[in-house]
Amino acid sequence: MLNYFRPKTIKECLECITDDRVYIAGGTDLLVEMRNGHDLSKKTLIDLSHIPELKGVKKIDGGLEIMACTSHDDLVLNKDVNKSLKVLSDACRTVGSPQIRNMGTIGGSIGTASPASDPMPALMLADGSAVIINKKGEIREEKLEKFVVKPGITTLKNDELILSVKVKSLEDYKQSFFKIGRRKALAIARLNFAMAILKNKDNTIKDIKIVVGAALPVTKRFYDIEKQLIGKKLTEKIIEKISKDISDQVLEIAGPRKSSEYKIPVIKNIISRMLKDMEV
Amino acid sequence: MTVNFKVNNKKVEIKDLDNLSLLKILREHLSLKGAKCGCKTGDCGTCSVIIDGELVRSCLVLGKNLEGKSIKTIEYYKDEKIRELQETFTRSGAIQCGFCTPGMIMAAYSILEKNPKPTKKEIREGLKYNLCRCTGYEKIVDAIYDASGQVNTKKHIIASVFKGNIGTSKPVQAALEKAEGKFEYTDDLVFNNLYHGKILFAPSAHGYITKMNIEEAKKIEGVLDIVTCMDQEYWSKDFNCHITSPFEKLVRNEKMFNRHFRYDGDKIAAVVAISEEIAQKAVKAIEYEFKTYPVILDVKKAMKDDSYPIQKDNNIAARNIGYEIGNVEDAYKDCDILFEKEYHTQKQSHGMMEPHIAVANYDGEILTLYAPTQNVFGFRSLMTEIFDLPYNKVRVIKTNIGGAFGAKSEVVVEHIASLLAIRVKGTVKVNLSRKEEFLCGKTRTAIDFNVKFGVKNGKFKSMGIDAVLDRGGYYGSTIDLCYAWMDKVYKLYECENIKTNTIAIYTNTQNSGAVRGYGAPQVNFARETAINDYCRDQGLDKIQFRLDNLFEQGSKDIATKETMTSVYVKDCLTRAYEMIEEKRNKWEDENYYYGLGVAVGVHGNGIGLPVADFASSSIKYCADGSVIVNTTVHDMGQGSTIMIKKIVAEVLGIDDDLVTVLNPDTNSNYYSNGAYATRETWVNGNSVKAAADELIKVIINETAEIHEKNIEDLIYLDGKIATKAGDLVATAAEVVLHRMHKPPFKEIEATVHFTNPQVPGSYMANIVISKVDKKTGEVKVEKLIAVHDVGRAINPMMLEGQIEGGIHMGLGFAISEEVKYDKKTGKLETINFKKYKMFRANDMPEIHIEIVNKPDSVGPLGAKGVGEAALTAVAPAVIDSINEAIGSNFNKIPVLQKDIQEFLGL
Amino acid sequence: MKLMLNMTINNEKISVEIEPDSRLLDVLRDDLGLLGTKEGCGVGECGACTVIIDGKTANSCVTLAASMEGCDIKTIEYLSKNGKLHPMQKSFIDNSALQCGFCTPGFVLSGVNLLERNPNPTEEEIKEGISGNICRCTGYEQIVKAVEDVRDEKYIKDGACDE
Repeated sequence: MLNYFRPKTIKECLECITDDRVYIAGGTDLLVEMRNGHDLSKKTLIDLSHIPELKGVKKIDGGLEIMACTSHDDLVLNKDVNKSLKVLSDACRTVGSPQIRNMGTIGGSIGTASPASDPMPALMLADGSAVIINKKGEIREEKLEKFVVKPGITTLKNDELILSVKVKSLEDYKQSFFKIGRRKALAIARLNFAMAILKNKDNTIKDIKIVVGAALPVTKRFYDIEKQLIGKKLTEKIIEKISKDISDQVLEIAGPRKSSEYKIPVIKNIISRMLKDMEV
Repeated sequence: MTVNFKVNNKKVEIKDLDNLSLLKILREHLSLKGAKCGCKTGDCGTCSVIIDGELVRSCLVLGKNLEGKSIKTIEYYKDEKIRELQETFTRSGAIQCGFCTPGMIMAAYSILEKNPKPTKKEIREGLKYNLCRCTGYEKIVDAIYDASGQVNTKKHIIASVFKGNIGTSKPVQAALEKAEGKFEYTDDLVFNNLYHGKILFAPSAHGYITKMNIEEAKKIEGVLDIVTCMDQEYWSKDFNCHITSPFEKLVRNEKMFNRHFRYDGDKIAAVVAISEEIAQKAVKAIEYEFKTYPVILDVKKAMKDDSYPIQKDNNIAARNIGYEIGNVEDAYKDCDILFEKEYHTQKQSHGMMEPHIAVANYDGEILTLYAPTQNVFGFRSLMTEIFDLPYNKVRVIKTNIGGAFGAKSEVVVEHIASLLAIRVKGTVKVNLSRKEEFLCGKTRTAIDFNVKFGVKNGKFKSMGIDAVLDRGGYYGSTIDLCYAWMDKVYKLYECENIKTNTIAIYTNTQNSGAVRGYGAPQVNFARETAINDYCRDQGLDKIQFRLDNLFEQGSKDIATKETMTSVYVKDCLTRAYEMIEEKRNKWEDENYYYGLGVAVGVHGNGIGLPVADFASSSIKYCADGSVIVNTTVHDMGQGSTIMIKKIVAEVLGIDDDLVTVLNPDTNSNYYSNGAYATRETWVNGNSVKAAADELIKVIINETAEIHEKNIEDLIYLDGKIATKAGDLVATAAEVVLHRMHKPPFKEIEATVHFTNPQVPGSYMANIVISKVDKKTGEVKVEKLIAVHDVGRAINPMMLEGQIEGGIHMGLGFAISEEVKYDKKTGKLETINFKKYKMFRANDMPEIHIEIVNKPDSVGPLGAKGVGEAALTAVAPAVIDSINEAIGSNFNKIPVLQKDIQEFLGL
Repeated sequence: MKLMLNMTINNEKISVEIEPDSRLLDVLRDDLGLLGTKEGCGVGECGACTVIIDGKTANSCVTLAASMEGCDIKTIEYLSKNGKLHPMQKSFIDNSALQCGFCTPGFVLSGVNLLERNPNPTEEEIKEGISGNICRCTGYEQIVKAVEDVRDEKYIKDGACDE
């Protein structure tokens, strides 16, 4: 028989955790899975929607801590997010539809480890890390790159719960998010990208961050390419080279598919365009 | 409190049971709607189920006592025995309206569990807790006997067979669904956001509401609205529940709620609420004061005493209705012998298993009424009149009927449901309890007759029958009933001088309406009993006297002078007498007096002029050779759908499975009057036959055009069109397909508007042997022979079923069913099946039925109707058998055990 | 395991016994008889099942009923509760913003919620606001116009919506 718990505090929640636990926050993914035959009848369903501690955005040193059950809509509207990590609110604005954004949570976006997650590139751009608590109350922090192992799989153990995501403030950076879906609303990202750039006064790159999601099984930050760019100017030649390098890497990681013929040149063009736009 | 039990081998857990009955749990919580609610008091057995091997009536079992029990219901398809019974019931014609069927099958299951090879008598004994009003139990007993694997030697009526459609037997439409409990009656239907209406009935039989206070009732949580007789709103305007067309200028003296109430079934207010329980609670919370008027139950008193008139000025609804052919008084002077005597018939309740129910929806524009009605167009007309809505804003849809017998041809709750739906702009159900059904349902008109006739040379010379009708409180169908009973006087015995006269009286009794027979069983009782009395007085042979006087083929209707299309009543009587072994009028043994009773009778077919009696029909040929018939027949288990299918199939030469007949719906169907006056076979049958004939013409025309042939050279035969030389030109399906996919693009259909040309008689003879217990005065009808002249049999099994059901109703009319009143208060006493005694399976006699297998010249393929004829001559034959047995002279019905005890001095 | 769920629906406090895995949509339709809310896809893509939960729209087909404990829910039935139509409903009728009508309750609620949250949306914002709802009949033009007419106060609130 399905067990259902609706804890009101994190402490209560930890007490409910069992090996067969399934979390529900907004439900926008879980209910679709249930409809598709995901059998919960012998599971313990823990409802996270009534824990106030898990909601909201806190300022922390050098960045923000976004509590796991904060909805996408809240992140679209949140002043601190808009100030420190505009790219995240832009990304959240593209999630699903108004209805989905109102219910869906950031914790869910991470926890489901969907390759098409829209907030994920933005979070990774800001060196996001998941804050995780276990049944005993022990807390660990893990970079999102490591936390998401492969599509649908994270390092979250059965006795653990995602508390929040910590991100760095990119307030001084120029930020950009780009998504391609089949239509404007209610589109699952086919391709999505996030970038942030910080320049020196001489227009050379002080720091740059590039993330590609959706096209890849797991959202990826291109650290090696970022490093190569530091101290350089974004000339057309360099933009061309970076775009090609990234698209080549994507092809390498994702492997050739039917859609590659379309996706690879598009990836190249979009990265090139995003870099050019930021240069302006 | 939680109770765990098993239903059909599935675990069930029910919480918060309060005082829920098992029936409610099954129907409302588990959606197992096979078990029906016919009375809620355990008297009818429609809710029968099996608990731990025992047959129980689920309306009497409380859910909280079910812990650990195992219940089997009609839905338990995994049980082979249940399945087998469902099949034998279907096959044997044991199903008509089907409302009692699930309960019957569970009873049958229980009988066979305990006794795998029961005798028929044991079967009847086992069925005694289950009532059926349609079948007379005959075919139910047969079905159970079949299921026990024993060989049934019973012979069925023999009919001439044509092409495999006419004259072959077929169960009624949806018989198997009925057997499986899947056939949805109105209370089984699911409506969203359904509200419930309940009615407040008058506190006594005659009086006036002086004050009413609904404030407390209104405060009850969940009450949406209350309407009362005190409101001077549109629902206080006068109408007549019988009126089926604005053309009818009948007296309108009835209101939806009557401040001046004339009987205890009069409605004085109604509540609509979110649940039936809350509505009922609110009905009880309505406070009122009233003054009482003297109660008049007796027509004689009513005629004399109109100090407190029941209607406006006096208690006379109609007087001097009648007509005279020849000169009766003069002719009496010329007679050898004069006979004169009074005869009395009583009220009779329909006793259909499904009480009145209606669901109405009003969406702000259109009123839609879902009701098990016998007359969708009549109901529509009345709703438009009451609510002042145009015809196109009222839609009446016939739902499945659980028995009707005339009850559902007049408005009883349908206008209340409609009013409440309009008031709350939503969907409202009004579902009468059995007690309420007895209270406000109509009854057969009780008639007092004075029969006088003169005989010359052994033949009728002159006859005069006067009648006083007890109509109850309102006018209703008074005038129709007058003509209905009188019509039967002119079409049975040859007699040059006949007159009739009627007075109709208001009393404080249940309102009279249409009940199977509609005047004919009453007048037939009076006339036939008079003839039997006369023959006994004069020492004449009652068979021979009748044979000397009865109509024969070629006789003319005495009133209209029209030649009857077929009259084989003498054949009926002769054959019935042949069939009976005991050729003597009375005998006795140590314990019993025996008597042989005889009666013949006549019933009409269709409504006579001047009332418009017509049926339109349209038949469309589909592109695969199947057909859809648009006409309005109200199937209530009597089998009219199959009848129509068979006629159309016969004419078109196709299998009857290829024929679909539309369910009555005023928005889509062609017009026909309702299912009453034995008119569905005669009028609708003729109407579809004419449409099918026309369709053949159309298809020949089209074929000729497509294939460039002369119309005269083509013939239609069994779905194909050929040249007269015998070469196939095309199939009907090919012609339809061609016309639908190539210019000029059209459908192949034919429509006719058929008017009833005349009202012929369906004739019958009944011979009955009864025995009277010398010690107790108890009457047991031992054997009943029924021979009917109903033209050609279309569906012999269901024809037989109709006759058996009619016999059941006729027997009750004769010796068991009595509508009783408290003499002082005028309150109805017979408000349940315990007190209103209908024949049960073990009360029924041995029945032998035959038909005179001769076609009528005008009837559809030679057929005539049987629905009402079935019971017309039963009661006089039964009473004659009693009078013969004990030497009594009973001139009234019912003759009850107490009457016989009194006569025998027991 | 059954569960008692307490919530406010259309300003009325309601307690209803549910299965813990019931969808809000089913509780509304089957247990509470609020049939205005439609099921078009069952996976949160079409918006026919839109309701307003604590002031924000949601797809009731992907909302766990059990999570609604203490929540304030408004369905299409709320808008015309006193027998009078909400301006948005009137505007939909007047602009022919409905044809088959199956998507209409969801659209009306999206429109109402949009204006509650942003009384003066641009055309783009209106389109974005109703982007969670799919309509196959109208082509959306008249729906956008209907929301614009309410935005422009062509309809004076007549008290049907008592907030």
